[in-house]
Amino acid sequence: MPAPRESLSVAAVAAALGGLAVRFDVDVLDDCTSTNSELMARAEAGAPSGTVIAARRQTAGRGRLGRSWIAAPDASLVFSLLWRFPPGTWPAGLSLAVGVGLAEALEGLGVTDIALKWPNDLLRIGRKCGGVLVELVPGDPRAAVIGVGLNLALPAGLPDDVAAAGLDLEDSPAEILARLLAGLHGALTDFGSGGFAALRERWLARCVHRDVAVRILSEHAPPLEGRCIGVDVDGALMVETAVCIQRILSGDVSLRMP
Amino acid sequence: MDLRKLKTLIDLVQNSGISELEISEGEEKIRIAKHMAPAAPTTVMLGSHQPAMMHQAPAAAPVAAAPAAEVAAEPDGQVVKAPMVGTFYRSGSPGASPFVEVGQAVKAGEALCIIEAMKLMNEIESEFSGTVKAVLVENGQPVEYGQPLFVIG
Repeated sequence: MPAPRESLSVAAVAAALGGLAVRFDVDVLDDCTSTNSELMARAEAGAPSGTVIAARRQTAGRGRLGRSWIAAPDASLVFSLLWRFPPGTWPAGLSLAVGVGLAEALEGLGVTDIALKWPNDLLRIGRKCGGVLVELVPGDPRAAVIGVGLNLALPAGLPDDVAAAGLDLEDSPAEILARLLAGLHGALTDFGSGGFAALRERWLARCVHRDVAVRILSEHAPPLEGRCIGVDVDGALMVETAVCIQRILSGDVSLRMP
Repeated sequence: MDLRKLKTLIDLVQNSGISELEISEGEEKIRIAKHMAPAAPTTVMLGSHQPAMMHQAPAAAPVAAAPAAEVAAEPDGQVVKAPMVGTFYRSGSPGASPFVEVGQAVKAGEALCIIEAMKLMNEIESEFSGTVKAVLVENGQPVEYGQPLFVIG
């Protein structure tokens, strides 16, 4: 049996952040239905940029469009970060920029095989190890609540057909969270000054489906097949079909097996 | 008036011996006239259009009907437009009830829908207080920047 992980605490995260601690206001909750919902309420009440809510246990995590996100205690790290962008920032591509910040932070921790799947899944060896849900604060399109869920380790006994991967890091959750926040701080600062275009090459360098055949699935439109030729300056997925190049803004990408 | 309802009415006229059908619903008045049996009928919005003069070939008639139907679907009121390109969702999660229904009273600041693009969720609030007169986009459909989404009257 591995030793139980040191529990997440505000003091431990602040110590691990070092000089960056002044940029963040971190709160750690024992139990939370959804860190995004909790932080959204604080954002609407005027919480400052850099406010973070992390939960030791999340009971009703939400993925995109209400898909549930399983978060077992100690096996996952879930947190939400409020970021307020400077005037003139347009949020297109923000979810991809978040993926770049997280991937760079994990690489800094020694996880060398992180890949990004459009628009914002983190993969290891083709399996999902993290997900992101970005929600704009209603009435304020320059303020975003960025929800992140990462599998630190996979729970034992998970069926093999669950396409998931763990990060298998030895570091404490506080150290991992601090490194992720530092990575996001860099990526979001770049995004605030140059939009997604400033991070596009870094995203493409980690893109799992560049120049391969893909199928785009959407609940409300017929599937689209083509070759992924990259992403546009606003983060839209570029797919070359038999007839034209299409810009994709919504849908799930699956790799098409030859 | 709901586009599907309009389509049903057009089909009804087309497949019947009726040459003209006029319906009033609140302030909306719609007349569907079949001038050229057995051609497809056309739709006009009274008050804003002259009754259509049917001189086209029958095959052109359904095309002519489409713009008129759009006019018919937009009652008077203030229009809430899409602030970004993306996919339009009427509820927060699949299977959940929509934020608003036609006929429902809303206050300024109340959530109307979500527009999603690249996993960026943008909850759109009503800029106006009033009654939802029309929902102009179907759930799950792509919307363009500035596209009218709701009419609040």
